[in-house]
Amino acid sequence: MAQHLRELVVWCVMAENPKILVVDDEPVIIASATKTLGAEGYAVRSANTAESALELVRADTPDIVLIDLKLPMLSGLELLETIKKDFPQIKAIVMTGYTTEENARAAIEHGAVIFLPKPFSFEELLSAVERAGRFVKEDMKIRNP
Amino acid sequence: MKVMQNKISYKLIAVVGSVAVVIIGVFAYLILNSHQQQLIAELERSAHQLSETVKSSTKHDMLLNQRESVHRIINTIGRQKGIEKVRIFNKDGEIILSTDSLDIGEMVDKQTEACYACHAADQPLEKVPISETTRIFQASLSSRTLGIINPIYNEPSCWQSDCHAHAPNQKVLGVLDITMSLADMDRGIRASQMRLFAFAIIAIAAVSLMIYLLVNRIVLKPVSQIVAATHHVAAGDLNYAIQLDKNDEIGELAKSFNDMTRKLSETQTQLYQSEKLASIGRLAAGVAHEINNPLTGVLTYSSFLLKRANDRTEFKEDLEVIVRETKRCREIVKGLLDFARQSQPEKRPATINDIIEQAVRIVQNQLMIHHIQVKQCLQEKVPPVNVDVNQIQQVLVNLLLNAYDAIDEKGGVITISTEVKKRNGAQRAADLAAAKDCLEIKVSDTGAGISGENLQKIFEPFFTTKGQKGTGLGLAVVWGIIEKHGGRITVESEVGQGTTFSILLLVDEEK
Repeated sequence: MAQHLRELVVWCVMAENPKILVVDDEPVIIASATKTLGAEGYAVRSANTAESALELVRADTPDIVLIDLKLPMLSGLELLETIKKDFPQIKAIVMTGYTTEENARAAIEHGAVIFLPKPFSFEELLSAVERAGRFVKEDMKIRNP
Repeated sequence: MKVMQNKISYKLIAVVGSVAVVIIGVFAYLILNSHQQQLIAELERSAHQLSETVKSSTKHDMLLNQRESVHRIINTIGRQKGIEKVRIFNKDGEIILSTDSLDIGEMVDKQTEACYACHAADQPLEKVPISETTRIFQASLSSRTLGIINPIYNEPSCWQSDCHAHAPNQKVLGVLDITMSLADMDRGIRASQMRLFAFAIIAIAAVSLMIYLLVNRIVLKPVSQIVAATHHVAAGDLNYAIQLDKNDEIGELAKSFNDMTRKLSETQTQLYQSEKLASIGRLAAGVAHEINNPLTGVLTYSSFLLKRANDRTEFKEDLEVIVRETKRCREIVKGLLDFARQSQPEKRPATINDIIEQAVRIVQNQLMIHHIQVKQCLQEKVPPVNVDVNQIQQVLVNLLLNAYDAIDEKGGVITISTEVKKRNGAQRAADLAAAKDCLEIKVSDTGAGISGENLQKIFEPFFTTKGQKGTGLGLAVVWGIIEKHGGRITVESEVGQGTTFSILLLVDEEK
């Protein structure tokens, strides 16, 4: 019985698309990501500073965060660190327009699962989000086997 | 320039000319003087001889007191050329015989030239040395005169003769005086003076002319070439070289001048290129970051629209163009960032031949498909060089791909060679490898070649002849990497023949 209930919960969670938070100070990134991912059935919220992003994360924890490395006050990496500390289950995608090996390495070291160099196409964005989504589901399977 | 020409020639001519004047002057004075002395000595001797002749030829007639006969003899002698007068004075100074009949009976002042030698003192001398018996004096304005006196001494035959004209205690009976004209000799000396003067003038003129021509040829012309070259260089033409084939000091100067401008030009090019790369790097980094965000917007929206326009072909085609071109923009920006981010090489000792083989392996497939043969002429046992292996490999791959692009469909050959260039002493001191061994890597192709005009620009960022295929950053990156390794890259090319890139890297001395 308990086994059946657990399977049902997993199914429900999997059926529901992951919740996404986009953090970038560029309006066009927020607008395009919100619109295109929304059209794919994702629930997308956005923040243009690390501080407002943290508020949103605490209010309603997303499954996936997309963080730009360069943010006005608190940097993308600092935000990532804070989120991963308090909410280790959140999968992070780090975006940057300044792609270097060091940036990519730093992002992965700080706990990001995917490094997404700008500029990206819709397909690349979607593919990154889908891969992160698979991580989320795998985590759920581990936590609720 | 003209002023300077004048100055050097003028100074030299002035110095040498005045030295010549002094030397020739002193020389002429000494020659003329000794010449004159010789002539006078000669004349004195002949005058003395003449006076002795007169004395002895008249002696007999004198003893017989035949004055007419004596007079005839001195008249005959006196008519000879150059003899002015022959006179005989008695003890009191009365002229008793003379070639000039007007003089006879006249008294001679004892202070005159003829008498002065003996009568200078209160008591007249009875014996005078031969040298004292002659004197030269200015008889008239035009000519000088040589006079010789010959005292006639009392002898036993004089006071024992029948006339008994002289007392036995008398020492000097009278004086024979002969004067001879020096006009001929003076004329000769003046002529000699004139000849010497003319010779001196001609000699000085000839020496001056020779100095002028020589200075002009050896100094002024080359100097004016060098001065012209400095003007060219000052005006910014650092490729100007002095065409001077001389082995003297000025040739040396011209050579070192050429060396200097060449080095200056190289340094300037290097500096210019470094500055340009650095500023383009900064610009690229700034622009790339700023442009990536709007580009993300364009790319996301357009690819999203393209996906949704499945059934609407009229939009689909246009959207495909937008997506494709935006992606091209992305590649350009990526290239720019790669270029801007040229990191400091992480050097470690490596064998260049291994890196070359690695690089060839990377592009081998692509080359073989296009019938391009790769020849490796690698010197065995090259010393290790201190390099960033990845960066040098990137350089070689870039050069190989450039060679590949230069070769058309018919195929061709790419040759890679390595050679150790031993230190070569002072001759190569001006070069990169001042006094160090270096390793030369050459990449040659048999492709289209590069025109001289383009050859100067190929290392400049964004210069490309490949149209849309290239970003124009490949060789700029190569240049930057080689420069950061303290090496040098040069290119030689001939249109239709091919291109050769030469890289010089310093050999690690400690190894």
